[in-house]
Amino acid sequence: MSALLAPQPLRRPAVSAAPAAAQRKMSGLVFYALVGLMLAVGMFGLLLFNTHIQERSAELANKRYEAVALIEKESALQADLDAKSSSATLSKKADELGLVPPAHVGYLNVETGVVSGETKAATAADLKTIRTERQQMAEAKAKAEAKAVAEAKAAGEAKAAAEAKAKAAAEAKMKADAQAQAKTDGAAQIKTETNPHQLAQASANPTVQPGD
Amino acid sequence: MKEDETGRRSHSSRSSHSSRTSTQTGTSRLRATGERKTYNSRLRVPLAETRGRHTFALILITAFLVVCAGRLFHLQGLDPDAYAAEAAASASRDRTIPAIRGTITDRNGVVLAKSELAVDVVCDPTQIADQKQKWAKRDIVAEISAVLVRHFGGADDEYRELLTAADTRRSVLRKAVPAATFRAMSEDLYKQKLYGVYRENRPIRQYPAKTMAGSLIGFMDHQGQGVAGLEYLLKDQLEGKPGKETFEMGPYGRIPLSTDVLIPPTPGTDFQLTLDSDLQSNVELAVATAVRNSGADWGAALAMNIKTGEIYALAQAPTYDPAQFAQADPKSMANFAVSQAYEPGSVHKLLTMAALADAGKITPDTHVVVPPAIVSGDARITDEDGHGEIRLTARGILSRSSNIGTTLLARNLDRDQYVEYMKKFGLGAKTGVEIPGEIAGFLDSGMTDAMKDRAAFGQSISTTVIQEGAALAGVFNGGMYNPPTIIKSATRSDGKPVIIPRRESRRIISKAASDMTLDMAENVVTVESQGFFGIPNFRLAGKTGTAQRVDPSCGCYKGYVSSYASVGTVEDPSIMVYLVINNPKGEFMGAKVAAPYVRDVLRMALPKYGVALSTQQPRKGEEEW
Repeated sequence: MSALLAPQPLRRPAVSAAPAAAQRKMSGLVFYALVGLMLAVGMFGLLLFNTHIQERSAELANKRYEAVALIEKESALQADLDAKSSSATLSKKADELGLVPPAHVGYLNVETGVVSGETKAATAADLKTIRTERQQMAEAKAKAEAKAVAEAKAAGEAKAAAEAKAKAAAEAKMKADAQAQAKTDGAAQIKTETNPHQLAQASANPTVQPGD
Repeated sequence: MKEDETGRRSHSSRSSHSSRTSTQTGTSRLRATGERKTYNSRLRVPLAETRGRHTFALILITAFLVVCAGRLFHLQGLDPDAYAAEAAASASRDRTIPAIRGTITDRNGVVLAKSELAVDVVCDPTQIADQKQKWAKRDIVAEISAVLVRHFGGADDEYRELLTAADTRRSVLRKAVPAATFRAMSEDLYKQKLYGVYRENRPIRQYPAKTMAGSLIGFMDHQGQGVAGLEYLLKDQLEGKPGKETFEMGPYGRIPLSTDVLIPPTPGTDFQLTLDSDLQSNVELAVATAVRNSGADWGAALAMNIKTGEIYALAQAPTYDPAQFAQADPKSMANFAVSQAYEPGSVHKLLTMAALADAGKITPDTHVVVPPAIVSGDARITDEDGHGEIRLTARGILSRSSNIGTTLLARNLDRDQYVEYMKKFGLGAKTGVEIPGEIAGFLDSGMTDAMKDRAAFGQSISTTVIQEGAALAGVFNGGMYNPPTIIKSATRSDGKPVIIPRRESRRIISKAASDMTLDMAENVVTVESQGFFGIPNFRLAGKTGTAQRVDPSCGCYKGYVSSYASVGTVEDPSIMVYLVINNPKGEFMGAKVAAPYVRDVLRMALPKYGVALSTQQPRKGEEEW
């Protein structure tokens, strides 16, 4: 009984006990072929790996280039936008459109619906001091032109008046000459001497243009 | 017992190399084990001639190690430093990445100063000459020049000259070209297989608002250093920190998986100003018109939210475009509002009256008998209109701008009291506004009584626009002085706000004294100017000033400094505008050369900031008794 229960010594595997089929030996050729294959697989794997890395690297470089190009483009577009939305540009554009700063502003009370303040449209006469130099020059020029026109008109009137006067004087002289010829008619002479002035006025008036 | 046996058997079968043993057990578990063993045993092919192969492998490995050791000795033992330096020089590249400078915007985010990526375009004439030799049939220079003209504009013959420059490897073709424009040009050159044109990164600073707030923003020199205005004052924060990239380069570009250390640049801090571009540009138009019309040397205007001390507009004429600073008139480059001292004249009577009201010495209805002239020291003080003996209220004295009346009232305060008030108002000291070049003005604590008499109406003391403006704003703002400020906020590149040091608001006079001063100043608009300084729907208060100008060339009085300060509305003082015109020619009264411009600016500004319409009619107080 005790012998049965006692652990039996393990049977050692004997190499020599292996079946003959498994005992065949690897020839040198197969061994070298195997090593060569492993080397080839390893090299090929490494090659693939390297190619892959190079590819990714190239791709990374491309993407970087693209990113930098886009950043530069954004910078240029932003600069363009800043220039276009600057008050310098906007006020110039507004000026070109003939816009003037608003002087009349109304307040709408949203609760009551009541509008207070002024709700008139802006006019060129508003806020006269807030003008660009160009606007001011244009206004001054318009004013000067209007003045020049008025002066020219006045000068024209004066000239016309002077011409009329000269004409009247000439007429008066002619008349006076005529009168001198007829010295003997004393009563008629005195009557005609008052005429030249009236004549001058009458001839000056038609030169005034309607609507001036 | 059976289990025991199975265990033992499985143990024994595991150590056995025989396949037959495992198949004999009959249990599925053992069969599985047996199958695995069968698989193992098939691969276990003993080597035929172990010894020879060991020797072969050993020789191979030894040879390899010897080569390695030899190479190691060659590299490390013979001259390691030279090799290391050579390797570093050939492979490792350092590239500095410039930091983008911070942006300056107005209170609404409108850009006032911003850096744009730009390059200087250079070429290597020797490379171009090489290409000429290589492609004898092509006219290389003409081809490159044509591409340059197409993208950058400019003259063809100039480019040709630069491309063929002799005895140099660096010829600058064009400066400050936007980087994107260069890139497009460069791609065209590449397509035509043309080489030798390169870029040098040099960001350019853009000032899209051009001359607007030019003297306030300042500019940067050709080395990219801020040298004037805010560009100078804030340069340390605006600049940021450049980054660095270290990587290794092989003949075919970067070496993959090699060292690549990138320290990204830290962009500069962005600043937002309290300025409002809309108002600023209109105030500038008004100041420019005022200076043009009066033929003055310069004019400066301050528009301020008196409740906060925020400057909405700080305009001056002449001014300049920071991008064209080299062409700017040097006389336009100063910031007149902080760097020029002048005697404030009658506008200063507001401060005198405010001090008197706060000390309880006057009310607007205080009765004063104003003689035709009074003696002060060894001089006589007279009034502009040369009146006889008249009976005025304090309000009448301010409204009619009586020097005599103001002097008489101011004599209720002794010198020390008066100086104390002026110091409280911030005179004789810098306001601390964030603008470089501020001066302190002049307030003599040891002034004689005669000087004090003149100080009461704004002579023999000097102030700056910002100083006098801030003091007036404090008086109008219920007596609370807010230190003027131009910077609203600053944001670091990581989005975190930068704390702007703020100076405390302080009470300079009582609310009652402030109300009394406003009451008196409203008469200037309603009675003195007969409503000419007024605007519909908003009650305004104001004060003109026409002071004699101290001519620095002779140290004498020559010419005038004319000014006007006005605030709206009387019920709810919110916005103050103060305009100073220095040395007008011809007409010089503040009422003519300054007041109409201030009125128009207020007319635009009050509704713009939603200041409530006045509910009451403008008041005309009693001026005589």
